[in-house]
Amino acid sequence: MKGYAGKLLHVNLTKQESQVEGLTEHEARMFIGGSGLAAKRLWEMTGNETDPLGSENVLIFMTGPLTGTKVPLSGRHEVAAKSPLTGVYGECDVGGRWGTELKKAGFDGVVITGKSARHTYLWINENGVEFRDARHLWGLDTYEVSPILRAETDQKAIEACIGPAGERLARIASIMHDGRDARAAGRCGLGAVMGSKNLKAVVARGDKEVTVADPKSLSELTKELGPVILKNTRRLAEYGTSQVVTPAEELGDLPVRNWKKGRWQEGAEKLSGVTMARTILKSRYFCGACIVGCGRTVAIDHGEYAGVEGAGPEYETMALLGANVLLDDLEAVAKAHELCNRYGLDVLSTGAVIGFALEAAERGILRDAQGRKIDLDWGDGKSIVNMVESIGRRENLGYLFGEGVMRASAEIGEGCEAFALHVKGLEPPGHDPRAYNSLAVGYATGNRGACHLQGFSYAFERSVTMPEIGILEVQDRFGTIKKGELVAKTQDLMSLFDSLKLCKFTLYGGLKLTHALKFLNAVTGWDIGQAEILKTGERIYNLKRMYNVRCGITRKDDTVPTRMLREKRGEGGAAENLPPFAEALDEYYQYRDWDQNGIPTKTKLLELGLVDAAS
Amino acid sequence: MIIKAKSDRFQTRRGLAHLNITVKFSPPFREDVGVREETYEIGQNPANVASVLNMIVRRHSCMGKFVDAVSDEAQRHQMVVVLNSRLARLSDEVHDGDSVSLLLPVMGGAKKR
Repeated sequence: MKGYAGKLLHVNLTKQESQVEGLTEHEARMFIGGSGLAAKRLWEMTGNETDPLGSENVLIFMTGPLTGTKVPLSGRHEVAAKSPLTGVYGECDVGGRWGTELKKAGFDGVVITGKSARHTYLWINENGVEFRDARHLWGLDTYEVSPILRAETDQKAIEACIGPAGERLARIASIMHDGRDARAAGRCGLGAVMGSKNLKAVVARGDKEVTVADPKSLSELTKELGPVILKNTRRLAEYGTSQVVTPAEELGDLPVRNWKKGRWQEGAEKLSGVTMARTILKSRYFCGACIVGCGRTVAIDHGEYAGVEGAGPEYETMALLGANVLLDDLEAVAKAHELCNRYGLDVLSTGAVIGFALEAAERGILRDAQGRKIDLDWGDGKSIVNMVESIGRRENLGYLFGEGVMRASAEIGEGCEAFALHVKGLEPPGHDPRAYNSLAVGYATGNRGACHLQGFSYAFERSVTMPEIGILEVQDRFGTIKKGELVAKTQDLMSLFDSLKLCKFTLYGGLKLTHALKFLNAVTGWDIGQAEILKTGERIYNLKRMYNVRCGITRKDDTVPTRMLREKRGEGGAAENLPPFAEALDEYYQYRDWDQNGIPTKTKLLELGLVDAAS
Repeated sequence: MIIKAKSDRFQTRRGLAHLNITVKFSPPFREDVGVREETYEIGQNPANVASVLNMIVRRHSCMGKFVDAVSDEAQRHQMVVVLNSRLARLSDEVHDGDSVSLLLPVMGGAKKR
């Protein structure tokens, strides 16, 4: 089967055994790879009874058919498990080079079950998998562990690993990849799943070529599109994702002061990608097969935060660990970002929970174990950096905040749930639904909770079009018509990107669905048409929804924090806007052929070939 | 006839009326032009976003490389234009007192600086 290694590696940590399963073409064509194949396996192997931190949970790493090929921006993989943060479907799309190494070792994916009796790491190469003792690595942070793992395996190997936060089961723990280059499987607390299995790392290395069906066509397509993508993403290359901090602030998209305020102009400028390029930026980082290089490598060699060296803050860091906590010191934000990477913490959830803590402290309801009020100041770099440390180490109040805002607010009580922003337990990313109307329904119906990437719909309200799915022009961000349809269409489209393992930034480069389809067919030799591929995207999204339905999710859970729906900020680029919600959600369900309670109809599931889910 | 003539004169006067438009430059454009914000007096009425961009380029030739009025999509790849908080089209009409913000495109492709 071209484009695929054709094998899935099953690892049972309890028994310290592994098995290789062949991947069938039928399954590959139905679910493509990455997110789609991971969803199918998670659906089959876990369910409502599964304890996310129990040995029965399954941790899945899955590449796509484009991973390891020359397709631009395709060096990606997916990580999935039942989320300990949300209790429902959890997944992360990850860049870096780990996925390419796994594929070149001869595996499309790794499915990890059970729990090791001792601290372990996996060494996967062309000969299979080795279970290795990780007792000497337990307690080390991700930057410390990376060179040791490479010395013990192969200097060219890449590791996926957890830091102390994942070891100590913080529900906002991430799985980090590529050492100091720090590519994160950040959301949903999957690092805690890995920690619960006593699994410190999965190291991969291989040299096998990924064979493609039509190398000539692939080469021609790459030559045709590569320069276009490169031209259209020069800004992204020059300033990284945080180039959008100032535009986001101008448009009212940036979360400011725990999503309360609408303006933070001077702060945004201090944290912009332009400022970073002129101060702490040292070089750019490229994921596998990337030609853009939006990753930032930074270094701080003097001052209070001297010693910071490695992956620099992204837009989401600037938004959640900057604007959301009013921290406008770029070096302090870079330090907080590095600590998140080292401890293995999701930068977004960490920033969100600190923003929540600051508001709780301001209202006088945050107390220590002795009941004394805790003073915390907005924008105080030192105390915010210290909070990240305490969350990473799970010390004192950091233990509670490592549980995420939903659990922390339930524990603190006193009405603080009102400003504990989350959807299904996942804290929102740095994009405000009051600035892009589609985001409200998108957050409410995101299968992993409040997520801007599962639909990416706001990109289509800002600069992107996709004629193949009927988005002929950029949508009005304050419009109220057919936002549900926009979200559904883009969720299905992004399910495909996450399954092919194609970076979403290709959209900004000018890539259309037609191009993605040509890449897929050139790699696999298939003759998939547009109707089939769109149906596949819809199938994948519906399967994840059914996973959540099986976990008890219904319309009652498809909500958005009140602050985002009801509170106008009165200032900034979206001062008076509130997104439409109830009607848009109805329209979304209707477009998807889900019932009024948000359950996919049997007819729809059968139409999508999800027979098991329909029964 | 008299009424029509009055109406014509009124239109003419309106046509000569100046519009005051505030233009805000975000980084890195601000460094190029050396100001955070400035006012443009436009003698053309009605005027649209494209004409405002042309005036900006006339005053600051360095901004020329960020203006691509071939199409809205082409322009968005160079520079995002926001008119009173809404993403603007080149053909959008501007009115007296309007505010135009020039932002770095989400992912744009202007010539390397």
